[in-house]
Amino acid sequence: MTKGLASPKTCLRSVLIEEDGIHRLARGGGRRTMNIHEYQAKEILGRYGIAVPRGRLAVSARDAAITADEFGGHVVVKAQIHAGGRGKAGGVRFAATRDEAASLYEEFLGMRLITRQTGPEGARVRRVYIEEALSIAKEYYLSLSIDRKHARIALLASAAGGGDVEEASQGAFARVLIDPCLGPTAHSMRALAVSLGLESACRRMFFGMVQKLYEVFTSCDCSLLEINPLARLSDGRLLPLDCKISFDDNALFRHSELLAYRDIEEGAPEEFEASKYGLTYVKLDGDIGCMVNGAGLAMATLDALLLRGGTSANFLDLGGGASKEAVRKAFSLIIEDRRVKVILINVLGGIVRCDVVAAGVAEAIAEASTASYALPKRHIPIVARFAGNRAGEGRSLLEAIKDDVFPIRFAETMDAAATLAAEAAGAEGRR
Amino acid sequence: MSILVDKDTKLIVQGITGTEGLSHARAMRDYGTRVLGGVSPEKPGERINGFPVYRSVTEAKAETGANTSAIFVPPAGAADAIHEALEAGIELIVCVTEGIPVADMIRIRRVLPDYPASRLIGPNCPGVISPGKAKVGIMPGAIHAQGCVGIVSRSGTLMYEAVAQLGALGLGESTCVGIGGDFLVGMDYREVLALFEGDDETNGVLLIGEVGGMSEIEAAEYVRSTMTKPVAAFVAGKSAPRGRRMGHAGAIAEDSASSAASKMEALLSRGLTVIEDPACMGQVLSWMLQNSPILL
Repeated sequence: MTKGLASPKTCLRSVLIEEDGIHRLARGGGRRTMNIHEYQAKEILGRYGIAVPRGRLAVSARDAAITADEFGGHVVVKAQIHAGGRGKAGGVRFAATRDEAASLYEEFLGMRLITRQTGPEGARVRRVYIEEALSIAKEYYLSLSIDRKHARIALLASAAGGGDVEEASQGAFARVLIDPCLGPTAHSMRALAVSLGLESACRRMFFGMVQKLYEVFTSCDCSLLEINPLARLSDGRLLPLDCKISFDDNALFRHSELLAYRDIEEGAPEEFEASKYGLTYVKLDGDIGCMVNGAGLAMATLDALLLRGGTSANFLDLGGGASKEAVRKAFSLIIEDRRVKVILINVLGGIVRCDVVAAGVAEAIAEASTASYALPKRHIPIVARFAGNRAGEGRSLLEAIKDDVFPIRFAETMDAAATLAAEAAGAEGRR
Repeated sequence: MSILVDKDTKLIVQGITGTEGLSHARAMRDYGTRVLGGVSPEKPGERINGFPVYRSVTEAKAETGANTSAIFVPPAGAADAIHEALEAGIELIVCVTEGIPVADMIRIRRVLPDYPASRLIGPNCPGVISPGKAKVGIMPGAIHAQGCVGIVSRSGTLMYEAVAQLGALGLGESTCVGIGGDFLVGMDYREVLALFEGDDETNGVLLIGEVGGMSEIEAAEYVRSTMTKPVAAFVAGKSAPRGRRMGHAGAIAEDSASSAASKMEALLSRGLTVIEDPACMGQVLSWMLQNSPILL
């Protein structure tokens, strides 16, 4: 069960890939995980009896100063965004006085913090957390996540904690797969604590903390619970200095208490809008708006475009049983995107009916032409490929549309559709 | 022969009284699958659309002799439905349900080895079809034709796309298996490939993968070490940005090793025919079969 430091490197490697993946997921995109802020994660830890540093979300610069006084003057001022890498990006800073705390609060609030996980556009800081400053003897890394290959919760730990953990060599990580029937076992935690170099006085504390973290992970249906760093303080205590939690979206139906933590302002607004209609939308960098049914076909459509010199503005999966309303919403999201020069519709009707998709598109076009909202008046050619369930009916519906802004061309195959769309985007670029 | 489902498939539908369950029970029957009834703890004893409804899987199996179950139970109860089918001794369990919590699947995967006579496909999958014989799942039956290509895919619609491309070239399939797009699923690529290898109706295999996880590479390792039949592969998500989930719960390029490009390279180096353009899956398969047996 225990895969300690002695485990084969290849084995460890595969887990780290997963690990790192979930790690990066904290960028806040896509369905299926809900991310929360550090201060919220610590609130949850506290509820499960895990000691965390004293801290408070400041509501004003004055409040930040008062909080600093309360914590003895020395505090850490922390920008709250969902992305990781805040420390290195200057979003976590030490304040030695109340005035420094207040001015850091002013500086952080509203600024765009660019970390290695946010992308070049950065993330706006809308909440600032003030925490007591503590004297740290040693920093560790600790996380719980789901190991795909073994279908177990995996505990990953390293004596190389803090901001440098991503650069740490893979050999620096120890991993324990946790059997769902047993939970973290004493012997495996003992072995892990030893491999981390924790002195004996600390090992019992460590085991207690892991047990509680595991309880949080399983009780709340987490997909990631990461403590980095876990600090051994000069006074001997073991305390999580930072904490990141993501939840499995699929399990949120049984955690209404967690929904209050959702911060919809983190992440692209289109992605949240889309999710309300059961659509999956991921913003990309190109200029061809894509509307496809099914995740695999949607990905493949993007790939086909890329091979033909086109680039997609988005990934949009209509899902398994898209309604007319969902399609209309999807189409609106695409045409409201000013970067979109051409629209590619690729629908292979299985459960989804092509005529339903066409009806949704027709409605969205009609809506756009009555221009109740400010659609930039321009020329956006559409390339449509319908196959499968009611493809003919869908095509007829679209053929009936005569709209100057949205001239429609049809393609029989994915090959033809992607080629036409890529060419059209090239032509629009030259206009 | 074909694999997993055929004329001997005797199917029951768990969740047959739901909208999805019922409409697909009918569609599967219309295709020619022997759908012997359904399970609904709330409405036992009823007949709906000609299907007898049983209280439990055990009861349904005892009454009908079913060996296969398709699960259309909503996410909150789907893992329980899988376990019920395992306990009842169902040999092939196809779970179509999307949205099962990962924690529930951890528990299912923990107990799965205790039922060596049972196989689980999915969850979040289109199911399995052996054209002309039986379909257990939600794929459109009409696009399929009987033939000699085996397909295994995480994605449903991309599998349909491949089928459409094969059909346009006059090719058909022995069996198509959608293993599901979730983070944790039952049967993986390698297990399905092993079945195709032993199937006399399958001459070549199309493996459709995507970003995230390493199961395509494990499968390719099996192809290299054991398989004699030619395997072509497409991996979706070359244009997927790292760290974003692309629709499927399991489709996230975690790092360079699980990205589409490096997976394709890994597959190529293990002797698979790698398809770069998803619009050419049919053509490559056709070429591969004409030139088989081949090792590139």
